[in-house]
Amino acid sequence: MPEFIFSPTIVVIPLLICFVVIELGISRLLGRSVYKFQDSITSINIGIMSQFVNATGAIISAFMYAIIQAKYGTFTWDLTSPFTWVFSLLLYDFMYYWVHRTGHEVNMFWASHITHHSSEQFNLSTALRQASTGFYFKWVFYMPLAILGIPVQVFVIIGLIDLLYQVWVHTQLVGRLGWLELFLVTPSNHRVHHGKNDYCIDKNYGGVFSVWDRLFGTYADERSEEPVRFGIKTPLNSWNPVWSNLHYWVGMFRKAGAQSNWRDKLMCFFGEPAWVPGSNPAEVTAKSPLTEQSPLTEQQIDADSPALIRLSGLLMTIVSAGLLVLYLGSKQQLPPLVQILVVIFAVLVFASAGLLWSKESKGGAAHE
Amino acid sequence: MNSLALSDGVLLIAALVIIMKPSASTGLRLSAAVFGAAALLGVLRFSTLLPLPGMHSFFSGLGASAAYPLLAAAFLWPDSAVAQSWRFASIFLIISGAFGLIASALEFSLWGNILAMLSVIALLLRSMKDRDVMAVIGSGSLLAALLLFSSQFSLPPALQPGDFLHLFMALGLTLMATRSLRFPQQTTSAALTGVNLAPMD
Repeated sequence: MPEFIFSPTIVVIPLLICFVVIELGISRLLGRSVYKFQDSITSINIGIMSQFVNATGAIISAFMYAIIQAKYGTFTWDLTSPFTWVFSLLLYDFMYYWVHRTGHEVNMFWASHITHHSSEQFNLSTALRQASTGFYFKWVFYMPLAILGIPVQVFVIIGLIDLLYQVWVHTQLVGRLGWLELFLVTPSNHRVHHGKNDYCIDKNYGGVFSVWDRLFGTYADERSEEPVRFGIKTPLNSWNPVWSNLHYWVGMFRKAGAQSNWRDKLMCFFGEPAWVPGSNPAEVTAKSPLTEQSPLTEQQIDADSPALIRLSGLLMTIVSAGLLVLYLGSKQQLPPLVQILVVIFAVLVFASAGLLWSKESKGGAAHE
Repeated sequence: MNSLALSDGVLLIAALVIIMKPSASTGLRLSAAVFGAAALLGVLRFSTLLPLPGMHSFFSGLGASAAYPLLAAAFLWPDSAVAQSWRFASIFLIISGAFGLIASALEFSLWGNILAMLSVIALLLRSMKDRDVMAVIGSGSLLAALLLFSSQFSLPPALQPGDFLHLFMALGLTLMATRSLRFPQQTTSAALTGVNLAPMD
């Protein structure tokens, strides 16, 4: 039996789920309806699954960073100096802006990041809805830090701070924050980022600081006269964690396969998400309009799922969160092959549960 | 001050001229920017003004594994989005740079050399097919730069292997860039929509 080893991630996961429960309680007290049961359970399950995958996938990022830093790292940094930490946070956040912007504006990267935006709700559980497929490209954007020689431990801690800061901005319970809106990412300007209203598209990419958006012209303030509608223009309409990660990839490959020339095939992957075959990529400015028909109506999506489905969803979340904590605590002692098998097993369990929920809730209709 | 600093200075000037040339394609200008960054770091390193060997090696590696292929792509497909648009040229550079970093992490040091060599050979073959004398000399210079450097050819005490790399690259890039003067760039819109207004031959 492998020995259990504590790590910050293990503490963070139950803590984040507690925050979700607290926000749910406060919203009930305030009489605000910001949670839909099945949507939030799906968000948490997507988050848990992404941690299973990324616990192994993130090694790629740290591995690449460590090697490049050791090989090309230019300067020596004093870990006790506040300058090291402040500079690293600023540079990390600047690079995060570009990772995030690329994640929205290049189709094959949007295919990963879309998972995070696929919820029609906006609350702390949405923050947990993270992609399982994004680790393959993000690391390259942080290489400038490695080349400057910023130590791996600073990179990891700053990355964690940047990530954790972004959790609390996923809420509708906090309004505008006055002068802080000028330079920080706040719940208000992050609501805009998650909106599918036209004025919200491709706006507010910052992680901690919104100054990057102001500098590069991607900032938009929340409009009181036009409430933000959350989600993506073609709704996911699925409670399947695996499908939420794969649906856009499948569509993208199908679209590329249908093109007759290489230019259009490549544009399906590297063009903007709104690009349509035959159009001029330079003239594409906004994501596709809300014209595609969704397989379910909004009423169907909003309707409560059957009690048994809700119970199974809740149980699945509790059990998988426990298993994730156990896995993260013992994975360093497991051989890589066993780690991969555990991850595959976890994904298959989520896939089968997701299929079951989808069929039961839609009266047998396949979500595709 | 040694010869490497001077020859890197020549390469830097050539790169700056190309970057500032509005008629040069975006892909060519971006690849020149990477070569220019490496050359600037080389000047700082070899003149001992500000030696940053790690950063210099990184940009040299990026030049080999990403800027040479970008140069070749921009030259071989002048109407492509990679040749004409900053966005797609940057995506090309980042992705090919990422593969270069992976190769570097795996200690596959030949990756950059192979890509650079293949790119230059492709440039030479295309220039010969187009019967473009200046481009043939330009791509020939780029090929000579790589061959002389990899064979560690030198003329002591005046010129080191790196000098040949820098000087032939400067000559090659400048001659390749003159192509845009002789074959003016199409408008971006026309290029991206695939409407060919200015045949290459």
